[in-house]
Amino acid sequence: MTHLDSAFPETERLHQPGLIEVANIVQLPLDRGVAVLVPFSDGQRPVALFKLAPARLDLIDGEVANADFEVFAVGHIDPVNGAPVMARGLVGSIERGDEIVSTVASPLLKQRYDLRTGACLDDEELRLPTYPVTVGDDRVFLEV
Amino acid sequence: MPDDDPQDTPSAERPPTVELPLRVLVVGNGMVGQRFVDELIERPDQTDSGPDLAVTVISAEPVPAYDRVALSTYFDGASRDDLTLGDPKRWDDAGVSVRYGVEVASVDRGARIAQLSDGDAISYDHLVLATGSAPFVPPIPGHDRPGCFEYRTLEDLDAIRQWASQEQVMTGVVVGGGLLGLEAANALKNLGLETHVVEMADRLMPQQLDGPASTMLRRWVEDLNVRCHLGFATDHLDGEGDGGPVSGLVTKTGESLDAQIVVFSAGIRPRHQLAEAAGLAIGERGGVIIDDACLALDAETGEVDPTVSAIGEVACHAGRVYGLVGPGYSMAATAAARLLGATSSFEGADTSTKLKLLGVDVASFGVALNTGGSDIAEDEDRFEYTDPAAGIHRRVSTVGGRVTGGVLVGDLSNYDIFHALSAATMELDALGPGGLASLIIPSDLFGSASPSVELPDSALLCSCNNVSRGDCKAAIAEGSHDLGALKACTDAGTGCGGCMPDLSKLLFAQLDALGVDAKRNLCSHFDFTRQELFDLIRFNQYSSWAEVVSAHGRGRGCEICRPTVGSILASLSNGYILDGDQRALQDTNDHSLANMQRNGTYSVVPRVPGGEITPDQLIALGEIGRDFNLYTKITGAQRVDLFGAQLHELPKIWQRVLDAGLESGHAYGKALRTVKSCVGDTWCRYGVQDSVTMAIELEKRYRGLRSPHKLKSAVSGCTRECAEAQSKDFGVIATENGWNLYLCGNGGRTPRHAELFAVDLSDEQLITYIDRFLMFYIRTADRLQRTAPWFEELEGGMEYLRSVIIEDSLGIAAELEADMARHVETYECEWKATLESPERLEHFVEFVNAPDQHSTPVWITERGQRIPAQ
Repeated sequence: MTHLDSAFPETERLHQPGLIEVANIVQLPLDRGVAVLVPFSDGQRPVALFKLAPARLDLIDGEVANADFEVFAVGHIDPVNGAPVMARGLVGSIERGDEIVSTVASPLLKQRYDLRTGACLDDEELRLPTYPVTVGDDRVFLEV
Repeated sequence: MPDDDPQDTPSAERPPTVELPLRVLVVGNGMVGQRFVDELIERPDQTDSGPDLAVTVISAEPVPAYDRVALSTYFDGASRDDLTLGDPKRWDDAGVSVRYGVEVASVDRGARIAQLSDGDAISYDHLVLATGSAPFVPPIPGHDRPGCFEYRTLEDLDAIRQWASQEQVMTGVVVGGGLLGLEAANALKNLGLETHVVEMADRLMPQQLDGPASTMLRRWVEDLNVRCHLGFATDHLDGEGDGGPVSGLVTKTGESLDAQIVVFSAGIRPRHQLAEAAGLAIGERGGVIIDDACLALDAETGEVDPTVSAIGEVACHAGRVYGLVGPGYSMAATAAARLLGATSSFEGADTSTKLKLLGVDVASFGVALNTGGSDIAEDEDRFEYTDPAAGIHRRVSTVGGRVTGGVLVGDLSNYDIFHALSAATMELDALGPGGLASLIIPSDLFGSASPSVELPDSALLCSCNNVSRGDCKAAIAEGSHDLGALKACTDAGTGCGGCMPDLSKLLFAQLDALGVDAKRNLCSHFDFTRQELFDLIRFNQYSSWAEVVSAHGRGRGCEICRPTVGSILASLSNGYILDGDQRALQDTNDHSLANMQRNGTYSVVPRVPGGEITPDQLIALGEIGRDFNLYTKITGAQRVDLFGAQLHELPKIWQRVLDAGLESGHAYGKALRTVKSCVGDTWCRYGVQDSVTMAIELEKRYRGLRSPHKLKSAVSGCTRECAEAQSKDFGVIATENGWNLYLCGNGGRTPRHAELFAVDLSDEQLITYIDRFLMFYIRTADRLQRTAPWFEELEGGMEYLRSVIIEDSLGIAAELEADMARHVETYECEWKATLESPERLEHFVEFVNAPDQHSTPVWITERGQRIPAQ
């Protein structure tokens, strides 16, 4: 259960309505989540952002190009107990046939969620909200 | 219940449809008697039918049943509790009543009444004789001098220990070189005495081994400083005057052997006197004669008495009295099943033995010796392998193309195959090319080239508990996927433990066949066990996740392998755990260097080494708790825990902690937690060493050491053990001469006591051994495996551990010490390292796009402190 502070810093908006800039790509560590506060029409919500390396980590001179990253955005609140913690969970990947599913595990009780669809792999009834992400010019935007 | 006697109720008052409970009187509460009662009360869960039972047990010994097979471990650190069998609560719940320290003096089979030695009388419907055996003490003059003992009960051992503790008692002699005698010799050796074994026959273990096998065993035994005297016929025992304490043994030929303590282990005789007096048939060489139903016979008429059973060492079946617990357990199972209305019969038992005697592997199976002793019979073929340098002798005999029996000393490979062949559960032609000849060679010599033979399901895996390979396979198929579950489900491995390596092999082979991750590969991203991964990382000196996963893993890893690799990198001293790509490996708590609570806030635990704190530090902690409104609690680990800190508050809180002169307590890591202490000789009138200083030294040495699971320790200043060291991963108890080290104790869901590893260590020796032990465990354990389960799976157990750590049998001691030295040298408080670096501090911000914003948990107040609303 959380109650968010209502004051919120200024946000930049791109020309397209409905897109809000939430972070710069350099603020996102690789394979680790960060949390951002996002204004929605019905109030502010915490969102967990994940910047993931390509599922096959091929070292190219030790650095992976920014363009090869995938960025996901899911709800930051753990559906099981309401704590705002999902950005602090461990990421992973599992193979489902030909597909590679990117996951995050809740830091509290380790339920795993599909970062693309928000579905919980360990409990059908649980789900995280997901938000489409656009990255342009090293800036990360969410569709609200 | 024992006071009710429904038989006294006049028949007119008894409702005709009520079934009266069957009154079962069990005479004897040894291993077999105890097992019998367990079988009786367990079965009704499986079958709805069967009579109600009222069970009474008469125990001559004043204590609950204990593991007599493991008796010699009593001098090796096992306590009475460790040896106790069964669960008294289950018996209580089932209404079983036990009378301790009293014997059955006589039995009237007609009236079905037993007279007790304290004057009471008990009526019964069915009598079960489980009186076991008594040690046979040869009537040698002087055998009753002070200093002469039997070797059978815990009381015996207490008396032996007491006598041996006298200064003048330095040499001990065991009379009897059989199985039990060698066990007794081991016990005397553990007491620190110069130990000798004297045996009348020309061989050790004359019932099981032939000449060459005995010779090989003797070499091993004498290598362990236990001197063997074969063909030694004691004439009398010397001592001062007529009743003075024993001073030596003298043979018929005048040979003499000095000794201040003598232990008789020259055989056992069934305690059938009660049965004999009650008119039951007794065998020629003793024992209550029983039929396949374990029912006794009337001596006069030769007819079965359906109201009396006899089981265990007191029984004589088909002319045989068994001195092993396995057959006794089978008899107990048969007798119990029959009382419950099921059909069951005992048709003789396997007397194969496979054990470690004084650390030597010895086995015999089938008919090991011919009636003529150890000479070869006319129609007998022998397959033999002898390696005097390695102390190995192996022999399998065949008659008419069938394996009849054999003996193995020093190497037991293929024992289960030989056993199955001799028990006729397997045919000789099931063997591959090379047949017996190739199997007689120890399998280590050829590794993968050795023939692989599939044993039939009917072959016995655990002879103590009569568990077949098929039973184990069924349990595995039904979900017992680890050793603990398999042992609990089948009872295999819970007797002498000799079958554990085979059980392991079977388990992993079955899991493989079922497609379950048998090799305990870490997860789908790595085809290695944690141990293998550790070696790879260490050898290649990897320092990042990227290196590890690109060389040996797949995909992006997961919440299983990431923290595991993170932990390994940290154990090998890889710097601040949140630097570089290690940050992305850390699990929930390590990630924030704090313990996450159910509402997403954290707890703060400063290190309080040894539990010693100054008043100023206590005040500082109190002020921190008050200023940040943190719920405060004192932990079982002798330190203070502060709850309710939000992510962004952590740096401020820790700055205050460091300012108070304290540092990170690593409560958030799978790492060393604390080394508890009692006050020791600084203050306590009983203390014999300075336990606080040692605890502080140990805690400061190992603080921050990452390991497969948390590590807990304690140092007690005397045997009163106020710091509870025996429940710790490594526990230290002070003695007058130094420190005793105990290893592999755990609390938690399945608590286990630590085992005594070494005694009277100096400060330096203690630290050296702990260094090596910790690094060895860290190197070889599975993910999230605590020291107790790790130890339980360690093949060779405590002996192996001692050989690795004390004797450096693997030649890795220097490496282990170097790894630990590196940890000590590179240690830095993680919070200090965080606070010194603006970059690292950046991560303690809740919302990266709103650094001044925070979520606001909902709190309530309880007992004056702030706690999460549920």
